[in-house]
Amino acid sequence: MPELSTLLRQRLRATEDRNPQHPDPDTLNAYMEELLSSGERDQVLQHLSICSQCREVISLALPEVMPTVSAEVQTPGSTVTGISPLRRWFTSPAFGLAGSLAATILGVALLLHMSPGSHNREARQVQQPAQQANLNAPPATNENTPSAARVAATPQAPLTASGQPAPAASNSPVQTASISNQDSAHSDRAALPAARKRTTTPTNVPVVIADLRRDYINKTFLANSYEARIPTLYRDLPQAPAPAQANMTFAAPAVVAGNSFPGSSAFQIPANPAGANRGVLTLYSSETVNGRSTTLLGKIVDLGKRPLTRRLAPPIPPSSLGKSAMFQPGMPVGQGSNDAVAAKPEAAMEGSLAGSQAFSSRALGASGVKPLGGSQYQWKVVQGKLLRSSDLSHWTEENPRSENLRFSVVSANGSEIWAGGSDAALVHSPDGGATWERVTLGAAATGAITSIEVAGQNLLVKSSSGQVWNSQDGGKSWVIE
Amino acid sequence: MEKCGLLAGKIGTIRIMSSRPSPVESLNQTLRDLFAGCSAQKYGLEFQDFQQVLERVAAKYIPTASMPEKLRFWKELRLEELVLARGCARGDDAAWQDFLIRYREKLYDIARGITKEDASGRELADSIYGDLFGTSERGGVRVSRLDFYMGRGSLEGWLRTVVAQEFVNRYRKKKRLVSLDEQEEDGVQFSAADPNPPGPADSRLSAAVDEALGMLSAEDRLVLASYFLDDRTLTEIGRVLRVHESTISRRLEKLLKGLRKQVLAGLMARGMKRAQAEEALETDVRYVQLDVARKLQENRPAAFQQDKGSD
Repeated sequence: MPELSTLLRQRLRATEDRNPQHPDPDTLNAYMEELLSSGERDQVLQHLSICSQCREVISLALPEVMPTVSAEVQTPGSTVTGISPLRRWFTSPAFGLAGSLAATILGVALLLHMSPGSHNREARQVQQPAQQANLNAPPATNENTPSAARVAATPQAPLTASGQPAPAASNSPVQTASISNQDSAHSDRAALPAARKRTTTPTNVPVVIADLRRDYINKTFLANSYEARIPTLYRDLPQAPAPAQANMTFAAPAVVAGNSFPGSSAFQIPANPAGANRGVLTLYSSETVNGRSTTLLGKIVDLGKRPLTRRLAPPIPPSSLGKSAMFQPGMPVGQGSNDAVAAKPEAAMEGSLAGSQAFSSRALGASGVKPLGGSQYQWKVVQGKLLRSSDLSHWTEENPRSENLRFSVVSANGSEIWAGGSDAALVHSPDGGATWERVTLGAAATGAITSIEVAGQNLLVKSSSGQVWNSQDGGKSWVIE
Repeated sequence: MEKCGLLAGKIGTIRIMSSRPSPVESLNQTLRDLFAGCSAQKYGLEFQDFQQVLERVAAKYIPTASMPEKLRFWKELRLEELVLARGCARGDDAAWQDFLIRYREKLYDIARGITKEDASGRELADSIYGDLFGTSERGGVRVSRLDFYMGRGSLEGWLRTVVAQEFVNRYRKKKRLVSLDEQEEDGVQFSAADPNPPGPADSRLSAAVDEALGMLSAEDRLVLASYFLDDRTLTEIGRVLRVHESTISRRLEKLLKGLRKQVLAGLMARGMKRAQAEEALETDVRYVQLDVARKLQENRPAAFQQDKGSD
């Protein structure tokens, strides 16, 4: 409707305010950083709708953030060209409605299938013959529970090296669930070596876990019925060997230092059943898993989200002390910042602009931001987002652990990256951003992280609530000052 | 006995209440905590100075707020950056040292990013730096632009906004001051003022459009103004409103459909029949097309103008 757009141009221009009262830079900045209340935001929007000058300022002042999601853009009024009829059909409302309906039906069916009642019934059906036959013999694999989750399902249960299930026979739901869990834990010990055997690198923990997860998805979602699963899935696989119980030592359920999650426990299982000290498979379980009250899909997500290994942070040379003043929100951190420290003009403090070298060509040349030797990225925080760049021109958003944290500060020193944000959130990457781990300061930690100072293994973190947290061991334990 | 127990309970309650700090003490303690947490002393600010700074910020943004509301507001401020700015404005050496370390390069980067050119960016940044340092005096006191930073957002964002404002002001001033000779050298052709300026053929049309625009929300008007007046792209509008460009596209399409309906309804409410209302819109299109053709004729290259003159 071109006629309407022309009319709109005329009337919008006519209603533009010629002498408006502009908001101050603080308010405009707070609008851009989404810090205004809804009332103030409406006022700013009202002004922006009639003030082309402030619209221009906002447009120029907004930092450029690389879009993480791309979508096809259709300008208003334009006709869609070059789109195949099939694609048009896929984007039609009818297809969306049908898809929603199918998803709902699938969800209901899945919910019914995985309801606790049906799950326990299945567990009991598998369990009863096994108990009657021989408790010491490896029972049939319970196909409804993932191996890792089943191991983790009884964090409080004392698992012995022999893996003998407790000879309890009761009709109460709690005891039944306990038997089921122990039974499934026993069967897991049989399934784990088989899974390791299928992997080419037994000590490669992520591969083992990926294998277990794939098997679990196959067993749970792709097979048609419980009876059909075993012959279907294991038709071409060798028989799983008996569990090497002498070597399968389960560590006591204990929280691993530095990776403690609230309400979770961890089991350490040798990745190599032969007992070689080449790797440890660490599985985490949530307390909510106990009693099998959670859904199976939730267990997959839990397994995928939590770190299975923890890499120790490489020692930081004492000469590369973090400069706390450099690591401020929105500031790219790296070698260039250190150069800026070295090149700080003393004459600028003399009170005379003429004597200042702050903007001299020498200072400008010395302060070009360069990638750090040990890290290929520059880091900064803009608008609550953690950004990284390899060339300082294109910035991409980093989302550590996919938790969508709102960041306020980042500190990078070589491959050691520390980033903090709201709700005392602190994440750490020991390898230049390849992997991230969540660091918990303490239960009393509040406010947004405002400063992270790194000096070797010593860390000093400040929050907006005035708290100062100190760590002497590279972030494993924290003390409030 | 029971009464004695009740009395003891009351005394206990009174004792507990009397052990709590008074609101004034609690306020002072909170302020002192904020003061200690933002390194204000490092930049030469005493507690009284700090209180004055906070009161000034509150007086500007929440003048009628109660003390608990003010406390909540102050806690949300960027106090560390606020005291840094105030320290710089007071000429504190440590504050300027920290400011230069943190923001000198950022200022250049921001200016270069806005001007898209190195020399202009340096010139703009130098000018802003002069304002921040305080090259003007008011009543014998040096006035630093940093004294106007209120800590609501980040200091870096504030600097970015200040640089953008300065750039826009300069551009507008320069645009106003371009001489006619320079414009003629650039090939701009001038024509006499149109005795009949272009406009809607029917005053009812503009009234209907104004009425429809007046019913829109501020955000919708911003979308329309950015798209039709500023010629912003959907991506740019989406960045301002923090939504995806496809959302802006859908919203624009929906807005235009709704506006067309409302304009037609407004025209019909003003005595037009539907066919007449649609005709009024189409009439305007024909009028604008003629106007565009005339503008094109005016802005023809000089060679064509000469051809026309020789004819």
